[in-house]
Amino acid sequence: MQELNPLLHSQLRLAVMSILMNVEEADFVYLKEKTESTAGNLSVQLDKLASAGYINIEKDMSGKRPRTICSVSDIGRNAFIEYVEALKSYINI
Amino acid sequence: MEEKKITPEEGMQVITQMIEASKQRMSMPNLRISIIWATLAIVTGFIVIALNKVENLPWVSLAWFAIPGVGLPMHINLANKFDNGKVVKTTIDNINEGIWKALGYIAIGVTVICCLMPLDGYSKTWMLMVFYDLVVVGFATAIQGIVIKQKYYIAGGGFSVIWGFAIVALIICDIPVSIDYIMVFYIQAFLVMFIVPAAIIRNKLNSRQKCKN
Repeated sequence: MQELNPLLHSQLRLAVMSILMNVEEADFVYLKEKTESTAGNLSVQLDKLASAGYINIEKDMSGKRPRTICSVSDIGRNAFIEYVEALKSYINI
Repeated sequence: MEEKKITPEEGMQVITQMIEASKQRMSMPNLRISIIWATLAIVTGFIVIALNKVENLPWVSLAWFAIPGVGLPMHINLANKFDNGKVVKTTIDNINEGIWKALGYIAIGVTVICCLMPLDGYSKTWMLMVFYDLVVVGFATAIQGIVIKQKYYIAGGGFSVIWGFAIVALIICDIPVSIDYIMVFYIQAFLVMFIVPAAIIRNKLNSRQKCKN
């Protein structure tokens, strides 16, 4: 049985990756709303995913407000696919 | 949502939930923006018909500049307002954005040609705008309908393309067509292409929302 990637096997990081796998890019406000997380927690988890190279984070300005836009990287995409495969083997799908 | 360890079953549940959540965005802002453009096109069409009745002068055509003149600032303003700054883009959004951007550039080119060529005596150049408004915009709407899987946009776009080809065929064959008739076709096409599909989709979304509540 494959081992589950510990970086992805956490509720919030997995939620973020699941959303980003489904869209081209999403900003911090959108991710926060969909995952129903706090800004601080989400920020920490995004940094962890970015440090692992799973997501790309770009910061720009939307009018006067700063905006953080996230997108999944190729490494992240492959890791997520592998994670789902491993998950399937655990729950016998 | 806390940062906590989960079981494989919970992991699968999180993935399913988040995929569902990010799918729930048949974007109302885009519908509203397209409604604004279509309404502007229709209102301007009526204004041009009215001005033509009152005073049949070439400057009446300048009224068409009301569409970009009013539409662009409204578009930018609304695009910034919607979603409280939330941004999410899918491949479909990018395709749609590409289609409408390309159409915007074509519109600028066609407008310049339609403004300049009559000065050299080519009075039928306006036909190009009919072709653009009905055939090109209709085609783009149908493509958008295919991309977002909305049959109402496909039907509306198809209707407009057929009207457009019919009018261009009449003009090519030198069959006299009153400008008023062309304007009526133009208004109908924009109603069927944008307003009707948006109203149907909006109703569907509202009833779906009510069911959820």
